[in-house]
Amino acid sequence: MSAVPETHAIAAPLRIPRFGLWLFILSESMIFAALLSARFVLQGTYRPAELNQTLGLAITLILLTSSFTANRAEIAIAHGKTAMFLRNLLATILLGILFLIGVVALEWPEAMHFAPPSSGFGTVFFSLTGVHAFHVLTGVLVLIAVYWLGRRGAFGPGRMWGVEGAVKYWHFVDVAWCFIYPTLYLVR
Amino acid sequence: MRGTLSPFRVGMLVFGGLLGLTALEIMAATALPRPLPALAVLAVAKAALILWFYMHLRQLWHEEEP
Repeated sequence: MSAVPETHAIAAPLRIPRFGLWLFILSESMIFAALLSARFVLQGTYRPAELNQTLGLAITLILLTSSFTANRAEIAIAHGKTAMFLRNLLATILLGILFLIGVVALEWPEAMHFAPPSSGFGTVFFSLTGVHAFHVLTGVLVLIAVYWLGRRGAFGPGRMWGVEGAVKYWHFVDVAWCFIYPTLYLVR
Repeated sequence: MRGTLSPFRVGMLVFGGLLGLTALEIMAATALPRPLPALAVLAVAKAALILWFYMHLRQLWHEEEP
């Protein structure tokens, strides 16, 4: 039915999806750039002393580790190591869930006391962490879908765009946090 | 770097670099009176490491497997 020969579609399969994903990531990063700049416009470098630095560092390390395991999962499936791929992908998913628990269940209730959403810093804090947590949630859901497909043998060397796309998105979530963490927890 | 090291090892080195830069962020935030410029440089460095080595930014120019 299609006018494009199937062999042509296979010859250059990833250039356009990759470019599309990078455009999507670029457009998403604009949201974070707007929120990050709003933090400095609205609050300058003010930072409440009550911010839980230990928790902030802990969730940062969790997210960095999840990027490491996601990278290992991607390399593993590119080399046909399915068991290693699944193991590392599962670790990434669990670390993502742990990060969400750290932000939503631990950090938010604490922050409610000294920076309620109605306050200046609270607006910035809950907007940035909220939008980011939503991205983490969607990333976790996508990784769960990839894990489910991976268990059914959907991926392997040369047929791993699903893994690559999901992992790239996950790394983007980590890149965003690289800027959010110092912006919220470290500047003064 | 990529020609001599396995991708797994590169991934591990990048992870170590990210941890090291995070440690530098903490040090900058506690030691410097106005840490914003240093924190901005460190954040860009961390993002660049992830973009280049984990997200394979160069795939936009060169088709390759991770």
